[in-house]
Amino acid sequence: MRNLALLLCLAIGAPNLLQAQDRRGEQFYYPGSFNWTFLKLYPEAARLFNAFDYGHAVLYERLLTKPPAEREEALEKEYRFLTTDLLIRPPKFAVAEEVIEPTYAKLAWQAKQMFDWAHLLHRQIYDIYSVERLDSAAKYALIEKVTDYYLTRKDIAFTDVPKSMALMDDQYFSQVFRKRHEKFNGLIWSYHWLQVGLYEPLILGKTVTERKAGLKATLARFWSMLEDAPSRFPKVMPMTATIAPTFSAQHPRAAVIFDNLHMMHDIISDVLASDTIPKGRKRAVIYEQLAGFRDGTRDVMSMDEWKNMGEMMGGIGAMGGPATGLLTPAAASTGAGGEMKGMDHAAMGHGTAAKDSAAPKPMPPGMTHPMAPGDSAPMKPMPEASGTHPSERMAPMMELHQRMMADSVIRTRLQADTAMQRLMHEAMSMPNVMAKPTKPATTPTSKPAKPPAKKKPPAKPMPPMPGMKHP
Amino acid sequence: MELKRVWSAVAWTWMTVVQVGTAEAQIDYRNLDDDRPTLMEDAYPVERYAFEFLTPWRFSRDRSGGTTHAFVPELAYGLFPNAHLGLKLPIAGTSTASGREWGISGLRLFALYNFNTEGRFLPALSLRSDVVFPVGSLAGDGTRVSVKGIATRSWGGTRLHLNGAYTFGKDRSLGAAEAANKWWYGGAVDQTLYRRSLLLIGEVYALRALSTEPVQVNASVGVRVQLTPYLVFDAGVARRLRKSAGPDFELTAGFSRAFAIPGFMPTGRSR
Repeated sequence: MRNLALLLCLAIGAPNLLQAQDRRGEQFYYPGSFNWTFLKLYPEAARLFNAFDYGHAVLYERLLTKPPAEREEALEKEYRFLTTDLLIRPPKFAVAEEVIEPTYAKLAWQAKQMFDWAHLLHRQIYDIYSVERLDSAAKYALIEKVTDYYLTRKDIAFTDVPKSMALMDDQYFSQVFRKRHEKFNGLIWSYHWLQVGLYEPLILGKTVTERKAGLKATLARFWSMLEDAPSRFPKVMPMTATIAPTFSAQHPRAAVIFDNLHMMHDIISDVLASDTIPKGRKRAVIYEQLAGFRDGTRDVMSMDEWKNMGEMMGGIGAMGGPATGLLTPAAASTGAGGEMKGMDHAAMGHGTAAKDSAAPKPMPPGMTHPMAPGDSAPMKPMPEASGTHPSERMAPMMELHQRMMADSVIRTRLQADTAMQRLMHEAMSMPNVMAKPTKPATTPTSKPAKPPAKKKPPAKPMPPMPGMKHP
Repeated sequence: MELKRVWSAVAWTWMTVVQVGTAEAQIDYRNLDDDRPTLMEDAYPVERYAFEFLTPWRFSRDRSGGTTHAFVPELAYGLFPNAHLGLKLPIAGTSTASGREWGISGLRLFALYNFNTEGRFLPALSLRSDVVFPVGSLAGDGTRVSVKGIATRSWGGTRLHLNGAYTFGKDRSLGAAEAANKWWYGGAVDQTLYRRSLLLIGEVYALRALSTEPVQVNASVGVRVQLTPYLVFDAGVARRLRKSAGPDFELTAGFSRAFAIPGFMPTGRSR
């Protein structure tokens, strides 16, 4: 009996003793046969996300545990491992992040939990889009359902109200990480670019073949970002409404959640990297920020502001470029009256995706941004180069370039963006580039990437272009 | 009970689970369940709203040469936050002078509550209670209640688990499988190989089945591997470290599958 009494006392007293501790709080994802379809059909993309999880986890662990003087070296080592090994041969299943970030997970379990919960939503939406037997309306309803389910966990769900970008950029610790560790930060932003960008080919592809081709092209763009790092990485945080305009128009709640998630990723990097926050305060600061990101009533912006944010931040070019769109062959159409068919204005930074979706612009044949389920229109798969002579494809390209350069805003932006200048230079030098996806630096099945320092010389001398300075 | 009837029950259990289990799920290979494949378990419960169905098999041979087969279907459910409930219905086959006798070896209900996740200072701590009912021809005598304390602490890919259990009440004869031992305690270490989704486990424990029996000291090693996003395979082997007591060897293997039922999930707002 004495033993029993002792155990009872322990059982009753333990919750109080442990009140200050984090609770595990794990919850199963919304069930359904759609789960894991993305992994089954598109393993080359799904497995990449497992490597991304490692990248996030190891970043936080190194920032937390390494003294400032050793961080750059430690992150460089992890960067090499990621880009030459893990991303090339990503794990089949999710990485146990507690293994990679043991110190961080013990410090800020709630942050890990919030990220896991949001990543689960990410994954389930890929799964839903990958299911062939569901029509657009069913997919729409299911995505809203899993988003509802996500939001039932008020204690760990990011709000579906857009949070102010000032939280990421204008706090006393803001931007420390990205300024000190530009390359690793660029890698993280390229992850975020792909995580939202992959929705587009899955939505816009009309058939399995088109979806696979589109997804392959988007992946190729991701791989091309790893070349000559950090020059091709996004220069600002990729916004979902800009990179995935179709998805954002269909599911603005989920898109907002993902932007809040990605902002929080950056905030935590800054908190961990910041010297102004003592180690003993980091948990408290992170938890304050997390609480803010669960609260949809303060430090928020309107949906219109959120939709326009991509443009205000520098446009899609600064965010790593479009996930799809530009790969549609420009040579296919030069419209009457000078309207360029095959051109996504949002994708070029002329207007935000949200503006496009609010006031739809003429879209090229076979490429629309559906506003509602069922509107899903065909997207031309990124075809291989046709039999057209390269010079014929080059002509509209040149015309496109000249029209763009006539715009002083574009001209100024291009001059300020060396990566875009180089891309334009390469595009002008290689006629086939508009008809084929950019060749990746390495593909998941290829051998490990070469050291990133190697640069390709321009293929050909480039004719002088109005308004463009060539470095 | 005839062997045929036993396996019919097993088949029925499988069919039932397959029917409700069309909603695919994921099991984490790192979720160390009791007896799967080692005696120790970790301090974390099944996720809330998740069902976990386990179909392990165990073969053991004691010092006298007697052997036992045990098939122990188990179902656990994350009914509350940080807690799960479950039941086991062990089916055992023991060697006798006239052959092998098969039968149900008691019904076990259990609940586990996790107080905290591992923090900077404290390990994860849980409390579990089991109640074993005398159901079946190979069950023990009387209803028995046990309490177990569990702690888990990690260092990167390595974790240490400490378990200790005690059964209340007077000694009574034990079931042929999944017996409620008088007390036992031990420690296990596991190592995660995250790229292979594989867990290696080793443990040592001391056990006294009844107050009148000698203390066993046994060791086990095992492995858990993720086969699909929702299916885990495990296997292990155990052996006594003392000459006087404990199994000559034990072999075990099994599958674990997690799933959920949409009707049991919160739906949030409707649109």
